[in-house]
Amino acid sequence: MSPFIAGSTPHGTLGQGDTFANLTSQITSYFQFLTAKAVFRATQITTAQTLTAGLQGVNLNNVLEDPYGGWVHTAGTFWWLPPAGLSGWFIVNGCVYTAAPAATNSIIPYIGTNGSASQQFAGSATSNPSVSHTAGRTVIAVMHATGGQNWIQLQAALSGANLNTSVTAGQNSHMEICFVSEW
Amino acid sequence: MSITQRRAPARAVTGPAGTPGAGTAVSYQPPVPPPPPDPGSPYYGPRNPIDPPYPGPPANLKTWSLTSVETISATILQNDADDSIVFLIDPPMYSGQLRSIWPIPQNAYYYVPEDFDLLDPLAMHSNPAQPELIYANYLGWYLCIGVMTYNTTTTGTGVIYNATIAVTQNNVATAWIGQQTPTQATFRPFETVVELQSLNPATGDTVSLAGFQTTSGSVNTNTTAGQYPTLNVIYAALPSAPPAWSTSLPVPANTAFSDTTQITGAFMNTNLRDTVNFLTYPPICRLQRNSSVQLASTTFPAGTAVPFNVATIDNWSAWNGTTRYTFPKAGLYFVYGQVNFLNDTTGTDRACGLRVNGGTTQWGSTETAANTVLGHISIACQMIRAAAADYVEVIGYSNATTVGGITIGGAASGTSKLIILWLAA
Repeated sequence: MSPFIAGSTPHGTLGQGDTFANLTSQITSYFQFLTAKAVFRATQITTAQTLTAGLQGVNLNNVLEDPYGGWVHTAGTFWWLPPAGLSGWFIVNGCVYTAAPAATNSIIPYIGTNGSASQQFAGSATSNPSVSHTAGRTVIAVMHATGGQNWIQLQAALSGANLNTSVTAGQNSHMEICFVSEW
Repeated sequence: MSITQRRAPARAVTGPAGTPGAGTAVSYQPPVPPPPPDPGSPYYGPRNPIDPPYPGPPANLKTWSLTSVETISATILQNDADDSIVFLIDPPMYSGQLRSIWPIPQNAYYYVPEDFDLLDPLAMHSNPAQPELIYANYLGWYLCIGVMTYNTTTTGTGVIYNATIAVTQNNVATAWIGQQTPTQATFRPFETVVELQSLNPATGDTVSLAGFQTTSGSVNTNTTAGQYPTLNVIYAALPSAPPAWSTSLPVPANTAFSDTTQITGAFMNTNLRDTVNFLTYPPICRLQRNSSVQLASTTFPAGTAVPFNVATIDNWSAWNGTTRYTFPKAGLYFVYGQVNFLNDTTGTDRACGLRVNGGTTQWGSTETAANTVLGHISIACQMIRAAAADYVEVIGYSNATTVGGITIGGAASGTSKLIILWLAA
C-alpha cells in the first residue's frame, strides 16, 4: 500500500489506486464486526410450555435483541439461524426453567443444532425432586454453525411426567448467543 | 491421520504433570479441520482462515502524532490493522471432547483427557502422552468452559459429583471447582464449570477438565453423543494493559475513512490504536470469596448477594470491594456466578442467580440440598446487556434452617465466584 498523510494536514491523494473506501472495507468494517459481534438473546415469558417426555425445543417467545436477523419462529421452530455468510464459532448460554418438578422428573438442558449429534451439547442436569418451587438448569456450549444452514436451539430432555415451564420473571428460560471466532 | 496412543490411568490433580503409565490403547482422533470461511461474507469479507504466520496478540501499536505529518506505511497497516484483525477474529481457541469411556475414581480430583478435538487450529492439544493437558500458545487470560458428564442415573443419595477446571501455572496445579451437586434418585450428574485463568506458555501452563465424585468406586464418563465431557478454552484478554490505554478508553465507534475528511493523527489513534487496545483488553473480572461467610436463610425467590473478598483480575477496576461489579462500559457481557454452599443438611433447596441494579434476580441452577457432607455449588450464567454504570451481583439462595444462615465460601479452590467478560457492543 502506498503511503498517505496522517498528520493534521489534509491528506491529499492516496496514490497507487488505493482509496479510503479500500481502508474502510479492509479495516473499519472488520473492526465494526469485531466490536458489534453477532448476538442474539431471547427469553420465554408470555406462555408456559408443557414439556413432555423426550427431547424438545424450548419455545422462547420474547426476543430481546437480534441485530443480525436470525430468529426463526414458526410452528414447531424456535431457533436462531446465523444468516448466510456468517459462519463461525459461537458461545451459547441457556437455562431451562420449569415449575416445581415431581420426584420422578429428570431434565437435561441442551444446546442443539441440526449440524450433527456431536454438535448437541448437554448442560447441567438435575432432578430437583425435593425442590418445592420453580427450578432451573444451566447449559453453556461453544459450537460451530454455518451461516444459513445450522440453527441453534435451546432444548430440554424430560423424563417422567409432563412438566410446565415457568414464565415468572427471573424464573424463566432464556438463551443467549454471541460470535466468538471465525475458525 | 489417526494416532494410536496409550492412555494413562486416571491421574489425580495433586501436582505437576507426571509420567503416564500403561493403559488401554485407543484411537486418538485428529482434529476436525476447521470449516472453510464463507466466500464473500458480507460480515467480515473473504479472507483465508489464517494469513501465515499466525500473528499472535497485537503489539507495538503506533501512537500517531497530533501535530506532525506522518506516513502510513504498509508495514504499519500490516502490524496494527491486519495482524490485529486476524488475531481478534481467530483468537487462540480449543474445543474438545472425551468420547470414549474414562473412569473417574472416587474422592479426589481426576483429569479428564480429550480424545476428539472439535477445534484445535493452533495445536494447543499437542501432547499425545498426556491428552488431558491443553497448552497456551500466548500469554493471556483464557475463558475456560467445561461440562463433566457422568454415566450413571441410579446413585442413591448422599454423594456428590462436580466439574472442575484444573490449571497448572508455573508448575503449581490447582483444581478450581465448578458446579457440584448431591445425588438423588434418578439423578443424572451433568455438571458445568467456568473459569477465567491466566496461562503463560513460558512456564508451560496448562488447563484441563477434571472430575470428582464420592461414590464407593469409579464412575465412568458419559459416551452418549451430545452428552460427552467437553472442554473449551478461548483467549479472552491480554495479560496486562497495553501502552496508551486507560479506563477512559471508549467502546470503539469505528468511524469510516472518508475521502472528504482529512485523516488526522487523532483519527488514527482512535480508530486503529485505541480500537485494537479495547478489543484486546476488554473488561474482564474474576472475583472469589475465599473465607467463609453466612448468608441468611430466605424464602424463594428472595436471596442474598455474595460478598466477595478477592479479585484475581479486575482489569478495568470495576469491583466495589464487596458484592458489586459495575460494568465500566456499555455492552454485552458474559457473566457467570457460583455459590459454594458448605455442608449443611438442613432445609431443602439451594440456588444461584444474577441480579442487575438490585432488580429481579435471574435464577440459574436450582438444586436439592440432599444429604451430603461436602456441600454443593450452584451456578448461574447469562449474557447481560448492560449500560455503563449498571452493576451485577451474584445471589445465593438457601432455605437452610441453621441459626444465622448457611455458610458459603471456605476453601480457595472451592470458592464462590463471579466471572465477567465483555463480549460485544
